[in-house]
Amino acid sequence: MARKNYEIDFLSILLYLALVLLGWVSIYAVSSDGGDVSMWDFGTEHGRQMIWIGISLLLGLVILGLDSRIFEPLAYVAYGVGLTVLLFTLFVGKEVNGAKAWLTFGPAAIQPAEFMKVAAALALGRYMSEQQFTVRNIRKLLIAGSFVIIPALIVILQNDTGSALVFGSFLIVFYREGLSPLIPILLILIVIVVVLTLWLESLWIMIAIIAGITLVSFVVTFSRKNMMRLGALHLAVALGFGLLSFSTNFIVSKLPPHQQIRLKVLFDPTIDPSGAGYHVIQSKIAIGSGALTGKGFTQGSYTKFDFVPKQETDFIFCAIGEEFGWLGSSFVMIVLFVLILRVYYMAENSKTRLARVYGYCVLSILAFHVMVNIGMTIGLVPVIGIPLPFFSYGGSSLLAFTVMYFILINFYSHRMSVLGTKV
Amino acid sequence: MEQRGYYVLAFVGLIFLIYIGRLFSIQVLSEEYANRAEGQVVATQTVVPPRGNIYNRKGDIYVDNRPIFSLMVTPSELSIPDTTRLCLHLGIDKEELDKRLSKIFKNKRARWQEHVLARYLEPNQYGALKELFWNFSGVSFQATNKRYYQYPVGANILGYIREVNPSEIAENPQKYHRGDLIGNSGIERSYDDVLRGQQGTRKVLKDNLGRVVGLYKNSSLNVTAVRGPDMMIGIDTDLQALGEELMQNKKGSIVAIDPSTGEILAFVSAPVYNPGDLTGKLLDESYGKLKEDPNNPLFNRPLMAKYPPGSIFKVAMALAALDAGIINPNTYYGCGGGFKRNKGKPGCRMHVSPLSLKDAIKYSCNSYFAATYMDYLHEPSYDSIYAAYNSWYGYMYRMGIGHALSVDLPYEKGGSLPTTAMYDDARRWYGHNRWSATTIISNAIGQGEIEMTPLQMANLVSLVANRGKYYPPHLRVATRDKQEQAWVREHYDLIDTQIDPEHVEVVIDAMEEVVQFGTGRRAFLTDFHVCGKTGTVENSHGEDHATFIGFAPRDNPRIAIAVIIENAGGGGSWAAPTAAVLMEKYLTGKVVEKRGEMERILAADFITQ
Repeated sequence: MARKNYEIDFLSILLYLALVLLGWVSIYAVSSDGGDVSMWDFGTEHGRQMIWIGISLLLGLVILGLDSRIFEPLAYVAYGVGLTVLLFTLFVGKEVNGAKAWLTFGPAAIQPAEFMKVAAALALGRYMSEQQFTVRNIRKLLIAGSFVIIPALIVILQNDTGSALVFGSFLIVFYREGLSPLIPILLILIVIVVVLTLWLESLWIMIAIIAGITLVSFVVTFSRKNMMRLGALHLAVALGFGLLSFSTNFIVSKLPPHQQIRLKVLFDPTIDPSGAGYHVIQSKIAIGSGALTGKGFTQGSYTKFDFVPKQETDFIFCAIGEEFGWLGSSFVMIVLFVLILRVYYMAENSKTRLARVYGYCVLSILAFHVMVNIGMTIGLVPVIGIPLPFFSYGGSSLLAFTVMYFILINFYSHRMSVLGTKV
Repeated sequence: MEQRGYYVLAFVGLIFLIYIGRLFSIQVLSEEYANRAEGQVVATQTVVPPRGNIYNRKGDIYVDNRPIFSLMVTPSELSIPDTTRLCLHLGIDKEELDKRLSKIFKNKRARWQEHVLARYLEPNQYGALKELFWNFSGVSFQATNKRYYQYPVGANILGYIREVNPSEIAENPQKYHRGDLIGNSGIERSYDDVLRGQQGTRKVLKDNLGRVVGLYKNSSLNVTAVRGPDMMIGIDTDLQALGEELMQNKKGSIVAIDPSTGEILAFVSAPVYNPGDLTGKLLDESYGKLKEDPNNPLFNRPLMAKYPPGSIFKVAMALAALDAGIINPNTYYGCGGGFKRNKGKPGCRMHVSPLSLKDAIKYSCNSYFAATYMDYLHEPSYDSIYAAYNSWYGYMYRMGIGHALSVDLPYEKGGSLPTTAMYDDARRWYGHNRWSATTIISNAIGQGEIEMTPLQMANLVSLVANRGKYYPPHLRVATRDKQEQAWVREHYDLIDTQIDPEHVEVVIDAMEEVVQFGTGRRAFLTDFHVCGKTGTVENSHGEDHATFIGFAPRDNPRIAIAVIIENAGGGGSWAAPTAAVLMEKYLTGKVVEKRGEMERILAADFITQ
């Protein structure tokens, strides 16, 4: 019966192959240095990535062949194992770029946090798919939240803030499952207020802005009936944000000067061009020099000569921007958006809540990675070291994203074999 | 709840749209990033072409270029397995090597770039090192050129080459870059713009560590360096070599000119040094030594030394007075061992009296020329002594006295020829109308306030040889045309002193007798009618300076020469024979008749005695 309703989703797999190929081409462009380097030279980064792609494909095929039902019982096990390895890494892990987030196995290194995202997604999916779960039950909401918060905290302890922030993107999942939109809106507002405070460097302007907006909002929503309640609410919100802005300002002013510079560099990299701002400046030059059509495959002199640090991993988008120009980078962005659309489609069209929650987790993680990664290369987001899914060099991240994505395809491919009701 | 998915997608889509817009702004709308990328990646290197060669008048290579090498090291890749032999080949000790290396290693940022470890390696050192380096890494060579002198003579003519100094770069940053070579003196300087050619540029790609990693746009934007054209100078290198040899252990000058063209045949400044001493690694050390030398070999005497010309000036006096009609060949003046009209001053030796112009030149009679000068200045057809003096001044000036001759060498001095304004200067000289013929009478015999450079003396005799006209003395004869590869001769304008050739002939008659029967007998050559005039320059600091000017043959002269030997006494005994040796050499290609004189002169030493 299960076999009958099984149908492999070739479109999603094709999309995956396209992304991985584009990623490999970008890595080749950077690591070949424009010379006649063999595609199969495993001493090079593109050669090694080829191996990782092979392993990932194999793993993906294995996952596709699994019975979809196996993931539900596996979810908590995977989560438990993941947490243990994560904790283990905290003590015996290898430190790379200041983060103690890597486990080495001979020549290969694995970043457990990458896989923890998959485990957390599965565990969250399973917990939320249990009949009684609803976001209105605060206790259950907190338990669900802790599935995400616990690994995030461990990752923060590993000093890998970038990866930890990814767990924050799970908020989208909670929102989709019924969490009040006020919470994400509030969070976004908080971020906006903090960023504006840092950017404007003036408490008074901030207070004026908050007061102004609150006043406008109050006038617009004014009605005689709710006057008192509305007024109190507006006052509370204004006071809250004012306090937030004030404390942000206060904390920043108490920071040592070098940390203040690191914050200011987020808004203006030119104040420290050879230090904290170096990455962003070089990255923007590389991308910006690509112009409309780019300098041509492997002709990107700026990335080729290693002006952009970490250009084959976190800053791989520079190579795309420089060598393929605006048309190429826009194309890549569109392909990535199509991927997100596809994930959305698979999530919404799943027959189980587990699959849907899991699908939204995948969507959140991918969207977050793409937005932060590309955003930082073009200077719109602070430099947070997280990879561009399927593009960045590195087996750990490719494997984890592959596993994550193929489990979703598996759910989708087996959707007919599972009896379930749409929630 | 399902529509919340749309909101999520809309949010993500919005962010993506913003990113694509941002990409459009930095990639397509802004040129800034593209320019900055190019600025960081593309470096422009200058390509220095070899300097043009210099040829002698016979068309042989006189000066060309030889490769010279700098040993470069790249700290990040450096591995020296055998320091002992490296030191041996470089000619430095271990301590010095360590000192240089640690200086290079100090600059942490430039560890991937090449630094100079040793400069001015000769080709043989280069060869030996190259063999040694098979198992070294991080070492390389940079080839440049240094001047090589096929004939190691004429250092004062050629000048030398050095690196431009910071002030020159600051003055002309377009033209000069750090490390560029520039001619510092001689024709290397006066024709630096010609000889240096045009620098080219090479655009290369540099990586983030400043290493050159490739060519930019396949070299399509490179500018080819153009080698400086070859140049021929009028120097007869054999004559120059002989002149320098004759002047060994002496101070002084020899200037020989081809009167028919103004080409300088020889231009000796003694003491002499080897031009090769001021090349490559020798430059600094040799220059210091030469600068310390009390005999001042770096002082380009023929060009810069000013002497009262003494008796040779009588040639100019005779020409001016004849042409101005003050005297004629049959004018006789008496001489009683001194100029009677001025209380016997200047004094004179005993000879026949009264005497004609010819005899006056032959016997170098001071009284005769003092009388001529006085009559010139008192000539009634002039309104005043001022007009008379200015007439005389005009003759002298036209004969190239009192002003630089614009020879194609740097730092030429003009000597001195007093003007009426100078004598009118009451504070330093006499004051208006407070001087007369007697006050300035010593001008008549080339003492007084008149000073000439050896080049001016040679030019004077050259214009006599050429019957009153002269081409400005010069070195550059021709320049090689790039396309045709043929010599293109330089054009020089003939200068006319406006002295009647008939009058010049009278003086030449006398000058021939000077050599045949007079003070210049030692300049006599059997096969050529040598004409000349000796002189003795009074020197208050020591022995007088010996001078001689002359030319040969009398008809269609081929060589005019001025010799001045400091502290050698009378012009007849040393300067005249020196000129004769050189004239014989130039006219016959060898020294036979004057061999004895040559050996006598070679043995003479007027410095250490």
